[in-house]
Amino acid sequence: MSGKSRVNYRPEPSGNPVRDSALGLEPATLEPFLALNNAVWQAGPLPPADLELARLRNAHHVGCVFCKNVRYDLARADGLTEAEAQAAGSQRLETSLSGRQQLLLDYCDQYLRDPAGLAADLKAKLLATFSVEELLHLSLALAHFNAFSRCAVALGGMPDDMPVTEISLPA
Amino acid sequence: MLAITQVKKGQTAVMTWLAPATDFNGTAAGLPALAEAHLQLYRSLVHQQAVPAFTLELCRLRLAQLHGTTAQWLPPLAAVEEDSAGALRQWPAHASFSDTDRACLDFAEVYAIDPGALSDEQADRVKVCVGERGLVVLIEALGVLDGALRLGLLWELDGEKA
Repeated sequence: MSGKSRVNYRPEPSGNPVRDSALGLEPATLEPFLALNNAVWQAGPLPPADLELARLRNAHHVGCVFCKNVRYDLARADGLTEAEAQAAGSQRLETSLSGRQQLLLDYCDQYLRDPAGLAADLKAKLLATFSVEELLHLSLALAHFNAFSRCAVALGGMPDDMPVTEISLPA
Repeated sequence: MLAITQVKKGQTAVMTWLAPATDFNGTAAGLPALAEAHLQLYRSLVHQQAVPAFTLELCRLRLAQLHGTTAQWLPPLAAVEEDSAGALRQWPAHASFSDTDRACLDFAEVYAIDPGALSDEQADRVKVCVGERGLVVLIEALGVLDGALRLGLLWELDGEKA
């Protein structure tokens, strides 16, 4: 993974970390990207704590240091504990997670590792536990989280490590 | 695999495991605002001017090949002649492709496997052709396209697993 940033974009800081990142270079895609980010967190039935579990599972899969170490304040306010956040990055069956949370992570793993291989028994468990709207929300959120993490890694400049840092949803 | 459900005597409906539809809009109809936000970002790839939409469409087709899908439910970003699409598996040696196409396809293939394995040299080759802004657009586009392909497979749109 390259520690060298591949894009040198230094705009006047706006206070929005996405707008101030390399993504700010292309206005045609920036606004739809920001709108999608807000919709992922605010326009679906899953609570922020569930979305944060999915985001963190993806972050560990992709190996994005930024994504692994940030925590959305709205997820913490929704009740997500640091133990649960850490467990989302573990591949072990975690006793700190509920069956519902573990199933959510199983669906994330399917998307990330083998989206064509969803087995009938996992489908049945998912449909018995989540509503269709929740599964759609989780799917669309995962697609966004995965694209964002991959984007951060591909742009380079990733530190080797960073402290856990709380952030807010960019306005 | 498509699920076929008997809805009325003598009539059948084809559906994915999530909804009575086989396309993205129909499957995601339960979450219209979020689905539309995804589609708006997808459409923005056609309107940006940093990377030719034709090149992004080649990347979409190549990613689909790597995922083992045709993703016919996904609207193309640009028209690509059959000759070019057919030659895509041989893009490094085939005369159909420009330097920009090659640099972007090379980047796309590694991105698909592991974005952490991309080299600075690969990024530099893209920047020589389309600049820093183009590299940003390419990286964003690959995320959007890879995500759409994964959703299609996961949701079994248009019988992806049939």
